[in-house]
Amino acid sequence: MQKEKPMTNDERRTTNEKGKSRHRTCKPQPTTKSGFAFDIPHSTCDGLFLAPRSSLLAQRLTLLAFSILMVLVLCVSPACAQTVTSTDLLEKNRFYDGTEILFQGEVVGDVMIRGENAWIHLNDDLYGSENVEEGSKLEGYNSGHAVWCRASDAGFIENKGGYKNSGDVLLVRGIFNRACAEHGGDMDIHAGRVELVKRGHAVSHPFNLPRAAIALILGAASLTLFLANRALAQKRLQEHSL
Amino acid sequence: MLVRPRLNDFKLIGLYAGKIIIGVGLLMLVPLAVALVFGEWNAAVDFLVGIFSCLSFGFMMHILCRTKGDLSWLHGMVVASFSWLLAMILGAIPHFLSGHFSSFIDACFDLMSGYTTTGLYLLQDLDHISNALNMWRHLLTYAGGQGIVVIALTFMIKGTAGAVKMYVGEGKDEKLMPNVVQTARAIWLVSLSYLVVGSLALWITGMFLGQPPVRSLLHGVWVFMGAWSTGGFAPQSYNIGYYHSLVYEIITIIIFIIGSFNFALHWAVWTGNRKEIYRNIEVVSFFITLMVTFAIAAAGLMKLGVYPDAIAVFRKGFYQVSSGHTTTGFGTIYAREFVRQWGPLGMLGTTIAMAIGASACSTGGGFKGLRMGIIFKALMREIKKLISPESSVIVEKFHHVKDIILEEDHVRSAMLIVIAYIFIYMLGTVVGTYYGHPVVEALFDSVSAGSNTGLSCGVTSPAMPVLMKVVYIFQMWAGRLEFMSIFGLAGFIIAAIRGR
Repeated sequence: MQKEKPMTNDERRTTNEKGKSRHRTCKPQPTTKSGFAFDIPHSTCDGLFLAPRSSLLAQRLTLLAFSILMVLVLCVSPACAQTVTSTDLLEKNRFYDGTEILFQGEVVGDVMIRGENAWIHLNDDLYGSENVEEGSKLEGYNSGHAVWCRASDAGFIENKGGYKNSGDVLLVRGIFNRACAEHGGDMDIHAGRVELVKRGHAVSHPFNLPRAAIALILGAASLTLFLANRALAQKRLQEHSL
Repeated sequence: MLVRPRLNDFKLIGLYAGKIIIGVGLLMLVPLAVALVFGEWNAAVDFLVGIFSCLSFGFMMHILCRTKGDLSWLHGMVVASFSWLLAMILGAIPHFLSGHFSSFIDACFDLMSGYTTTGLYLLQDLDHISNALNMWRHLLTYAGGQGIVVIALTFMIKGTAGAVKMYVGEGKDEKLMPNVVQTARAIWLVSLSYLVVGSLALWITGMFLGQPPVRSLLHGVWVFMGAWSTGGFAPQSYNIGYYHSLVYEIITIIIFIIGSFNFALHWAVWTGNRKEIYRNIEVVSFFITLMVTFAIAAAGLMKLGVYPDAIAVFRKGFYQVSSGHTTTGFGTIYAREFVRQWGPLGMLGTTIAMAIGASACSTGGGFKGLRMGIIFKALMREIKKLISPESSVIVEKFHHVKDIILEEDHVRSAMLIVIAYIFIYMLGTVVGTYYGHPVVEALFDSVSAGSNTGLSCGVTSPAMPVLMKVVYIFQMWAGRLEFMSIFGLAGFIIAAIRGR
């Protein structure tokens, strides 16, 4: 499932005819936002360069040479967003600053609607597929990133990760900001597009009967000790008064 | 000559430690209630196991250690330090049973961090824990900030001459009221009043920020507890950065700065002496050192061009530095941003702020503003002596609730404690460096643990070696109790082994 919306200059993205996003693995280069490689015609990202149809050999050779050149440029261009991890973004924050990235993670906490936009938090740690409450192995701290998206894009989020839920897993395409000027220096991702990858679900917690039995035994023990202590105190009080 | 403690000494310590552990068990009723309200049945069972373990232990101590007599100063110190260790072990039961910890030592680490209002944690997958466990984490910091002995004094222990010795053993020496039990209750009165006001402010703000009312209320109470106690725990792994709100940040700054002030100052203001706010040596010292450390960090941030404008430098820089200085440990940046963005100068400014810390007899840690003020005044006195005629008598005063003439004893005791803090900061740094962390990073997390702050640059993690975890636990414990009761416990153990 994905949300479509009108493209703006800041949100131009590479899509094929069906609107399905493409993941490229070419290495991004750090660029300023103004010099962003969106300036490159987006059709080139699909590898479908629309050259004029000409039968002349020279024109074809020119076209071929230009196509090769474009492919080479794209290989080092951030125009083709790359799926990155939160660790990548933190450790190489200057490298990715202002570039378009793809980021995938589980929605955790709240979807905080702020006017026409919303803050969501996507964790790309290993608990996204199975969290500790579902019986996952312990894999360290949570890790993820804050995403600033349109409120309408966040509307389809049904499950937010927490004790009782495994959150929806989303794929966002957006601009990574090392220190966002709009948000007081926050490190964030301004999402142009949000796509549902996997629907979350409720997490069942089967009642732990053996542990409840231990609690019961301990409860009986503490009650016995409490009564014994009170009886001893009263006995000593009586002895003292005598 | 060392005198071996008698059986009655052990009984006295066991009896009072038992009382304090019963207090810890009763405290777990709060998260138990939360678990029942939210239908978190397994979490409820975990807390029942914890409660009954504490009660069983406490009543057992009552039976085994029944004795008469009052506590001496040494007993008070030993009860305070020993109870904190016991409370750590027994309080860690619900943590460990939750399944979010790799080992029991990790659970103990979080407990000690909570009681000491440090805020470092080894809990894994924080974003999926129950409301009950989150309540317990935050309640720990809130209770630990006031002092678990203070809790026991308030509810469990009738006023005895020995009570004051346990109270002092917990790192507090201000007597707000003639009776120490009344003092403990006064501390609770101040704290609970702020709890209502602060939580309400955060609750309303949270709803405006887009949180559902119930989650906003829970977050409001938890964040208040984390801020007021200068604890630094937060309900989400993004810490305060989760809220993306300047208003939320301002409210938390106000709460943790107020929370970092001396209870004597609170009480003075509470009872109408408002001038104390700007006359008190700790307040003056705090604002001077806060500005200096913020200037250092801001210079580093501007030099590296970390943030796009001065407002962002102030918002991010001031938040982390003031959070560090008050030893709160709230953050609006990712831990690794200290290393990857802030650079050595920014980290240094924050490290110095953490090392200095909050006020004496507050919920905070570090050298404390009072000692910094006393050392500064002593330095001034020495300079004045140098430039004055030999026959002149230089008298230096400082104001802390009342005007006090600076004496050698004040300076000596302040210097001793500062040296002890420097020692534990160095201890953690050496161990961190031994395990391969760069010195700046090892120093940062070590100072954070020793000063009970809780900011981390990434050194603290569940994957760190057990020795580092133990050293950090020791640093948190020693730093919170301000060493004297630790020395008391060490002396008691040595006397038990080698005494006659």
